[in-house]
Amino acid sequence: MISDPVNRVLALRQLLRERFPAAHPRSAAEATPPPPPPDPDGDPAPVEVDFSPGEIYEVVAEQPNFAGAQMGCGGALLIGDLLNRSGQEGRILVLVDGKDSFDPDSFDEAQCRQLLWLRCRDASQALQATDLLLRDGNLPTILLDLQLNPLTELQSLPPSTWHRFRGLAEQSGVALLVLTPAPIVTSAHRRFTLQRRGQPSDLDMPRELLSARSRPILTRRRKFSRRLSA
Amino acid sequence: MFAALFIPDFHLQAQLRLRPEWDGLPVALLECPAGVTGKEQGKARILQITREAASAGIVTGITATRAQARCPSLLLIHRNPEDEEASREALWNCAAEVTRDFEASGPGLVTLDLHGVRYAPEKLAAGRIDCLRSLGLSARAGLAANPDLAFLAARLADSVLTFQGPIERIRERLAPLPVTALQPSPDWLELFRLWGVQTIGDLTALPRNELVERLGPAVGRCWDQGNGCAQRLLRLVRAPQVYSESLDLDDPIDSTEPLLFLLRRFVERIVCRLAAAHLAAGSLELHLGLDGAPSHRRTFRIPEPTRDVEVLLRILQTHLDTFTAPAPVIAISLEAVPTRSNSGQTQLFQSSWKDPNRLADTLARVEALLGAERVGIPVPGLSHRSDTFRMEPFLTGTLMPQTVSETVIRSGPPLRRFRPRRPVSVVTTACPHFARPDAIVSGAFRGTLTDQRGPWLGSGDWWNEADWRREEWDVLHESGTCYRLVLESGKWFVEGGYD
Repeated sequence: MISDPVNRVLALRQLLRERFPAAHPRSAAEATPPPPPPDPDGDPAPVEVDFSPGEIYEVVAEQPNFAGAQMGCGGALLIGDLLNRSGQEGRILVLVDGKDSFDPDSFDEAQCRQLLWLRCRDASQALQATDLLLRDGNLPTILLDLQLNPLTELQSLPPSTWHRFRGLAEQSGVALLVLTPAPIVTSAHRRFTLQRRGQPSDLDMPRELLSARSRPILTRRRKFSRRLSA
Repeated sequence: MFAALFIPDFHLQAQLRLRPEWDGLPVALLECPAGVTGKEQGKARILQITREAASAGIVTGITATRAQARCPSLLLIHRNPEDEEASREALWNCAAEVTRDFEASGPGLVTLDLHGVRYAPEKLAAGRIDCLRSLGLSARAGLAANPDLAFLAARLADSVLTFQGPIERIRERLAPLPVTALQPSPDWLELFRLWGVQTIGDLTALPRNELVERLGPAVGRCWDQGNGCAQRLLRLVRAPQVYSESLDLDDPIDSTEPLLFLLRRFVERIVCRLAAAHLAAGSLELHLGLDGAPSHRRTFRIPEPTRDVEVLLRILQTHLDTFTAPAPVIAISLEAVPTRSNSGQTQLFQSSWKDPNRLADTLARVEALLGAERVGIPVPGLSHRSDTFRMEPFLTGTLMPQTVSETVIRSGPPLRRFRPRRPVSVVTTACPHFARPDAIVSGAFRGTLTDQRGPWLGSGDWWNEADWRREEWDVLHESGTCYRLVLESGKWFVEGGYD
């Protein structure tokens, strides 16, 4: 009784996908190789970061480094991954670059065409620009990259900033992803962690494979009661 | 069918609409020109008055001195040709939105020929009244089979009045109107008064032929108007097709508020003209003449062409909020480039921005915050030199970009750049053709390099003064991070790290 309508819906979806490929872009999960199996030691498995509109996410690039620069965890790989996904879905990704560290030479021109790049000088500018874009609500995904900003600068930000951003994201339906060197976004709906360790052999590996290996791990999930819009 | 749009007390309304601070005040317009003061002004007669002045006992035709005796708080004003011209233009443009065939029949009066117009005349007339109301002008409309009858209907109307049906019934409605409604000459008015002719009904009761024999053919036309049977051709006029406004200021402006006040008036006028031609503003060009300094010129592209005054004004305001002029403003000019409104249907599976004009405004604010050269789409430069890209402005057209399905396969993680790159001191080991970096001995990156790949040599621009050559190394730091190390002009730099 139940399976028949379900099969019919699945068949209809398949038909629509074949007839109108533009309306059903391949999801990133189909486009990229499958993630590696869970670690036998029992560590949490890497997950596909799926952003729902109107929510705020934090991705923590955890690699203590003496130079103060948290690099090698795969933050830039994640940006590339998001650019690929935006390209497939015909959307624009906004990169609010807190330390002006994005390197266009590392990406294809076609990928960069999907990017609106805001080159900020410090975290304060980045937050102001993000605030304006969240209020606007036209751009569906905003990536606020604070990975290279000094931790002291980020820890001095008032927590109310993140709560305001969560409210704005809910109102405007924009998905906000914050890339940070340590957990600071108190109002994040979900928190992921990048725990990849760079290897010299990485430089020779296909980037798609590297991306699949450095998927973020879900470390926190919070349930917020959604505000009812007036 | 003809329609008459009539603005009562036109000269007074032309000034009141631009001066909201006079709302609720008793105001009277004098017939004498501006500049007349003292006793001469006291003798001048009142031409038009506001409702508040009327309720204070002021009537038209009395002298200014007498009016002030009745109402000491009465505000006396003179006619302002500039304001009247702006209101006349607004009225013309409002008429031109409906039809190109219209006549400027008098101050605050246009007569429209509605033959061939497909829409219901009553709805059109009501729409024109709303349009004029939005510009601060209170108007009435009359609809009838001939132009003069339409004007009489407009005079009688509260809002919209249509004279339709048997001519006898229309004559019955016209009969009680004062004969002055036919606008006869003052000599005839005096004569009619002596004859005891006070209303249109009194006039049309007289035999037409005898009246014409005594007073001439002109009074015959007056009689025909009152009888509702006057037929004539309209003397057509055309609304101007210039979409710019400019003003040289007597007193320089040194703050944003008065500038925005003037710009609002400019935008309203330009929008009126655009609406009359069924066009929208595709871009705006602002020119500010500065006192003793080079003038400021800026072009604003409007992503979704519009005639919305608030949207256009917001674009200008966003710019002016972040603009600091080196000298006071002595001249303002604003020009709109007209274009067709965006009315095409997009494809079924193609997305569009929620509000392209708002997005453009937001990006203008972000550019004001960061600098225009720091916002946009990165595009590779024409050189092989490292970090030579250019920023293209993000054009917020109506549609989002198309999907991109194919990308080039790349290897290795992307680089994160340090801008500016960090100079370091490096200990090297001499090899046959180059010196291999072994350790960084200064700065934040101090440490041993456990693995090195390179060198990758690059050079360019050797044919001009910007000649460059460099040696690149990918090195693994003892902390586990891969960095890009560069040797240029004998100095080492850390250009970034692989992430």
